[in-house]
Amino acid sequence: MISEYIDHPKEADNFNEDFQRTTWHDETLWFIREKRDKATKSLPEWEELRDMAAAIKSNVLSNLDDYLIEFETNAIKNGIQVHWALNAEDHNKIVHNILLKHKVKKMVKSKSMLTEDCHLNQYLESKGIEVIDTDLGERIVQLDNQPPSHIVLPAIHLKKEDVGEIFHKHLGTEKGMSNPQALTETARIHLREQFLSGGAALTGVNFAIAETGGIAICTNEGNADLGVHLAPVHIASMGIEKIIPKLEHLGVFTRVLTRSATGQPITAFTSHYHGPRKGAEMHIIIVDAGRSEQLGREDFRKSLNCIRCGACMNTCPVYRRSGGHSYGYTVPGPIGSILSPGIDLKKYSSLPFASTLCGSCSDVCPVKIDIHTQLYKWRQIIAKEGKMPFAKKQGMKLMNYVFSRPSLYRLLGKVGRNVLGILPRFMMYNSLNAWGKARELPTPPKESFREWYLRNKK
Amino acid sequence: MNQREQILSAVKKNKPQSTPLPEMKLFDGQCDSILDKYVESLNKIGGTCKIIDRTEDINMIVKSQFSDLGQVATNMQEVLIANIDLKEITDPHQLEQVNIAVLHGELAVAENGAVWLEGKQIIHQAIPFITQHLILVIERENIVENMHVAYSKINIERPSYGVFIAGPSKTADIEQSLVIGAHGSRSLLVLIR
Amino acid sequence: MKVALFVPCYIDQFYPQVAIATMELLTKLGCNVDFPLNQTCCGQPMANSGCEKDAISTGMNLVANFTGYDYIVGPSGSCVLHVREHYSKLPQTKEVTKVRNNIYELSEFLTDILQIQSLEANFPFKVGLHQSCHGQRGMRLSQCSELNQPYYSKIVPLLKLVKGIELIELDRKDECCGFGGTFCVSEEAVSARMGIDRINDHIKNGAQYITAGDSSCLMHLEGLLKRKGSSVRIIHLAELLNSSIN
Ligand code: SF4
Repeated sequence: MISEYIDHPKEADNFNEDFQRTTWHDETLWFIREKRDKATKSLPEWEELRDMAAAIKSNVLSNLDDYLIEFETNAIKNGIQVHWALNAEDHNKIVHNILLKHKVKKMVKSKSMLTEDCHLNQYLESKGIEVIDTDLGERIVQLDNQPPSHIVLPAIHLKKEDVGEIFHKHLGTEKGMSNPQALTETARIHLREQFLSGGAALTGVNFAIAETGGIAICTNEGNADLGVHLAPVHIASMGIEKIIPKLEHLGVFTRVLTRSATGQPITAFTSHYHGPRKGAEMHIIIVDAGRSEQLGREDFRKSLNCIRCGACMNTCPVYRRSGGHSYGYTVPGPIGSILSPGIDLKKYSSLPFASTLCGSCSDVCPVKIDIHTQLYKWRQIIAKEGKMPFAKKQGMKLMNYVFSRPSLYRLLGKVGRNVLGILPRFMMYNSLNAWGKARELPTPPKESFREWYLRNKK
Repeated sequence: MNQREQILSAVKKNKPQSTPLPEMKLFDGQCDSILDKYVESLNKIGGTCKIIDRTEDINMIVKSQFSDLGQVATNMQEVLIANIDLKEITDPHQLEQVNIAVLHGELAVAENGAVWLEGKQIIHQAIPFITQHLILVIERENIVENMHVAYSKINIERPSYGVFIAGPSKTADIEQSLVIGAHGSRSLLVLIR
Repeated sequence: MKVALFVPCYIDQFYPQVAIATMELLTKLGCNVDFPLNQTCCGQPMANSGCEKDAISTGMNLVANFTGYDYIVGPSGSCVLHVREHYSKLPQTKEVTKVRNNIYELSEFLTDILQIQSLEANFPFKVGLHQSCHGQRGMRLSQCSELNQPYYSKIVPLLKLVKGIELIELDRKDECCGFGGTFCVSEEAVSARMGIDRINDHIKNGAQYITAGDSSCLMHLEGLLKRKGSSVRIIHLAELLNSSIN
């Protein structure tokens, strides 16, 4: 059980050991945040678009069952085979069965956080099917057997030298190669072979349009399309919340998604699939995996608005200085910290505390999820359910006991200030004192304000 | 209950009270010259652009840009330099060696430089992705201001495939350095007639 | 105008000069300032740690102290915001609602209620303004860098009333300092690193003083500055607006 617990502070501490690298990580992501700022400020209607996007999503959630049925009906009319999966296991089995039917030995896959969450790759590999992640960043981390550290920029934690090393080991490039252009060219040649030999292509879904029964997929590399247009079978996996009611709503979402994600006005490719191409098959798997449950949590259902743009990660001062892996969940950063406790409260109980509640995430979010408010609310639940480290909880009780008793508070304050003044330095700044590791304590004043006030004013 | 019913009934039980859809707007009429805006946007996303007077000029332009044409595919009759007949090809894997694709786009978007292609018109959906270089031809009057207007004009016949292409394929997955030519086309030239 | 002074617990205990400055400043501006003697803490440290329930009696103590006033002013955006927003969890009696409605952060009170146009203050130094998050994104004291909105600030115009002051520009104008209440000890590594990055931004841009509307942020930044041996000092907004250094 202990190993299951994600200890964010500890992971973050490890991450921070390399000061320069932390600087680099922070600055790289801040650069993207700045590009996002510039792109959003070039649109006078930006805040209105956020309102519209949030309102559309809210309407979707409040009619989700009807929209799902509408989507299914239209998708079937388009010649798409629709499957439903309650959880990760069912999803993986459905994929496997489709692949078995077509005797697929190798599947190419574009970015899909959902399948990442389902551990689909591991599952299929255990069944003897090779899975190739075709997004460059995902391929890099896949070769190195790591999970992605960011939902839009999977390899953002790696430096070009690291990538050079990974390619040297797995793709046989020259040792020491670190030029991004050359590395990308290597990957292009390597992945072209994979595209041409893929027996099936799996993609995620950015938006599923109820009215037309089709899906939209956004990529910059063109990897989803190359995979799908060459393979005889296309499988698209989507969470139930990916629904949008009408085609015209894509006008709003395509405008906010990429501006929020990378500061581009739109992704290089925005593809609309309304059925299989001639001679091929298209499947859509609609997955629940905890989403309908989240829908029932009044305080947290808005997290299902998420369009996975990654902006909350790029802006989060904690994420930038602790790295995606420190969250131990497929979706890291602020949004991951409000999604994961709904999946496993105990395991992820440190994540809602990995925030200063500065609120920047909620302000960049294109679908206006009140992320920092939800972090606060998860904290209340974690404390109530006793999922908090015991000592901390007792400390809180004590604090309230003191603060609700004015005279006790004053007495203790006085003792505290005096103690600060007289204790030898080594006792204040030992390894147990987290404050003092990097910071000095304030010089205690001789008297509190109250004492001063009583002396001067009365 | 099968999985479908289980999911739908859980959703039905847990969904909040219905809220209305917002009224959609076009946000148009904001820019003075849609053409200028288009050219500016396209340049920003790594594409280049030429305004042509006569469709036949395409042949000359392409020849002047590529010393070695290699395999050229098109869905336009006017493109005489094409040496691959897309209609003859049955398996998209055969497009592997295509160097240049000249394709006609239905619509273009000024705010982001995107061009809308329809699967049926381009014959093989793989072609704009598998080609090394992509050349798109659009009509000046088919450039619209933004995505709202674009979606109001698009008519999705079903089943179908359609794609907005905005620039050559790119990635910044290695240390955020932008590299043009990830998996798809290495360059994009848009010709406006 | 009668005003009740709300002094957050750590200001009372560690930064009494901030409360003194607030009191003097308000008095100078013509307010009749009261200090309800049995106030302690707003309950935020507990609530932010997930123990909202445990903080209820602390909150009720605060309400009992301030219920008789039309204006309650505190030199802390963070604590004021906590009373305004999170006292929604207390029983919504007439008293609780009244206190929630009548509590103001200092710069907000000076700008929106007193609408001051001039100040007798002198501070001939280069100053960097740290935008404390709860004042910034919580109370919207000035334009937020994330939002597409026109420029405004309830703090900068006040600082500009101070003679001799030179406000410096920062590379990141409203990034969090990493204090975050118990976050500063539970996530020590990230907290310290965020603070180091903040002070370096001020140092790089030539600040001699860092000011803010929240002493909690300043305590954290001061701790880092001192450890670094930096000559840059901290000063609370109230002290700065009340200063008469020539
Ligand atoms: S929560 Fe909002 S900002 Fe974060 S990834 Fe989702 S949509 Fe983007």
